[in-house]
Amino acid sequence: MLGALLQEAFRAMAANRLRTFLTMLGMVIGVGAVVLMLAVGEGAQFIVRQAIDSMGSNLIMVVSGSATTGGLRLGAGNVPSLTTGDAQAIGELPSVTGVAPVQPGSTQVMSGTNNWNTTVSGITPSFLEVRNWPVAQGSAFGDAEVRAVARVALVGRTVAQLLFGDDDPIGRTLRIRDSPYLILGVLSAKGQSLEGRDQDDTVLVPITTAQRKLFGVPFPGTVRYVLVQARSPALLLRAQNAVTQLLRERHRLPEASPSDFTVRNLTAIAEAQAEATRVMSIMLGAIACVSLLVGGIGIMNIMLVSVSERTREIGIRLAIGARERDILMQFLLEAVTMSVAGCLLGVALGVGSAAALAAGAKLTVIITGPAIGLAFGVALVVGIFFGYYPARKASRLRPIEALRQQ
Amino acid sequence: MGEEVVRLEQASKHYDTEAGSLPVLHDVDLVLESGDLVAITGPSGSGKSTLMNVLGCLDTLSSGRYLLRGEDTGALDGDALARLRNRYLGFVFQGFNLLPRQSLLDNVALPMLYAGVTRHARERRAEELLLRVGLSGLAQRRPTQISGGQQQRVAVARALANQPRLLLADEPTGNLDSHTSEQIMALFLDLNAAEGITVVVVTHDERVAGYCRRRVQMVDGRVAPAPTGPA
Ligand SMILES: Nc1ncnc2c1ncn2[C@@H]1O[C@H](COP(=O)(O)OP(=O)(O)OP(=O)(O)O)[C@@H](O)[C@H]1O
Ligand SMILES: [Mg+2]
Repeated sequence: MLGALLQEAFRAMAANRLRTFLTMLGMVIGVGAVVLMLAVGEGAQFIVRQAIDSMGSNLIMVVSGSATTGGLRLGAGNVPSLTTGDAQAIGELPSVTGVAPVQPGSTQVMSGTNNWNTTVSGITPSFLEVRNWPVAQGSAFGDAEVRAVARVALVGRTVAQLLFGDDDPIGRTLRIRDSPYLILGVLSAKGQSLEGRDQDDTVLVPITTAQRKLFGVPFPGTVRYVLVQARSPALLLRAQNAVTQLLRERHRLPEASPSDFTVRNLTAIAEAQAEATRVMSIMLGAIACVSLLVGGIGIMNIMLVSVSERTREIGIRLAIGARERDILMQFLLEAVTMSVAGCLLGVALGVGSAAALAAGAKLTVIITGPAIGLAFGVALVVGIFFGYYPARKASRLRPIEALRQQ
Repeated sequence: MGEEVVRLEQASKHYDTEAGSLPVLHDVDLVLESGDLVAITGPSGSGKSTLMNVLGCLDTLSSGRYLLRGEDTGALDGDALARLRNRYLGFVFQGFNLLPRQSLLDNVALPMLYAGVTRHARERRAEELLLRVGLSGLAQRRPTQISGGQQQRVAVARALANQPRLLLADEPTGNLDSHTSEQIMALFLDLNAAEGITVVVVTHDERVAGYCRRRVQMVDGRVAPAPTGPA
């Protein structure tokens, strides 16, 4: 019975190909949009998740500066108020597991005839732990090199690739501001940061080297920022408050004066961004679903026309013994067949345009099974929902009235 | 023979039009028995088609009762009426009423689809029926690819699909020439004689009516009294 009804549905659809195609087009575009939008949203979420994972967990960033000198308020980082001593003191707080003072800079680096402008950051070995950033090849420098103000360096993947190509950079020298630095290791790949920066485009040197030899600092031992890792997510807020209090005491700030540093909860910021991306991808999907709805209305429209055009056929069927539900099934099946066929084409369109977008606009798109399943499910529901009314209308016709129709 | 198939009691039908209620059947009393071969005649507008539609369970009475096999059709729901149309009744129309997009075979098999017969059995019986009406070579043609007389024979084959006991034909030869008309009538006579199917034919054609053993004359929505015997 179902097979025969399906055959009827195909026959009816084939009888007016152009109309069937135009009817399905709404569905095709709707499903295509849903698949594409979900793929774009999923891709954006993937990028953010990856960036968060690469950041390290439970992180607080303390940036020096933001002081008011003679009524002039300077931006964060412009006044060197934090020191390696501050970092050490923070490391002793009970809510803190790791602390990493950082002195970043930007400069030209060279190897042989190749050169490249990149960020060169002065760090301590704890930085690699706090950022969860192991060395992939070679080895990291230790506290000894920091104490010795050694000219050694770790290079990120991008820098290694740009300066050495496929050669092994370990043991080679890197020239930074005309001084040679021995490359000890290559960092593992991190990918994009939340701001979209390539985190592998970097060189790490001992913090003492950056402070004294490379960039120089206005006061001995100052650093631009300190990364603090809280013991657990639950302790993030406590650690944040403890750091603020500790630094205010150490900097001997009176009760009323503003802090000469800024504390930022990186993990909270990242989570907010992840949430924003999630909301965005839900919005994209929802907007695309509206076009599915429009496609469904198109199907209903045509099915209604089809029912009134085929009133006589319905009359004949009723006269030879079709029951109400036979007619209902026939028209419902036709609507569902049309939406499922439209859905298949739509999935192809969505996947195709997502692939084109990925190739053309270098956008990360991810097509997931559930996304396609969702598009299919919605299309099916739309087909049944919008097919039901016309089908019911057809099935409720009285035989004699349907037969009289010309 | 002699078993009651159709009983109309005080059957009346009126249509509601803009000009008010239009009576079409007045207190029609009619009994048909198994194996009857009946011609319904009468002037245009006398209510013959209306009567046939009532007998075929396509239309309902305004008042009075219609009993089919002793069962009051007024008490039946839509599905039960559909079942009667499907299994017990066969209808042949003046305009053939075949489905134009389907092959002759599928047209003939359609009532069996609604009866839940398997595909294989449907097609086998449809082949047999097409053979019975003399069209076995044309099973895959469309209704538009054959003549009117052939179309009406397909319609008869379709009406016979589920072995009905009552065959209703409203001017089945109205669109056919006299030679073709006779072929169709011969088919009805044969069905009536060989299988005992009760046949009711509406016709304007005296020759067609002449084949029938009984005649019901309609005048202004009433059955005219006391018919003359067979010509
Ligand atoms: N749907 C309808 N609405 C209103 N009046 C109708 C309707 N159908 C039929 N009639 C009227 O009912 C009367 C009987 O019609 P019916 O079709 O039964 O006549 P008939 O005997 O079959 O005529 P003919 O020989 O021309 O086919 C006619 O006067 C017709 O105008
Ligand atoms: Mg008539």
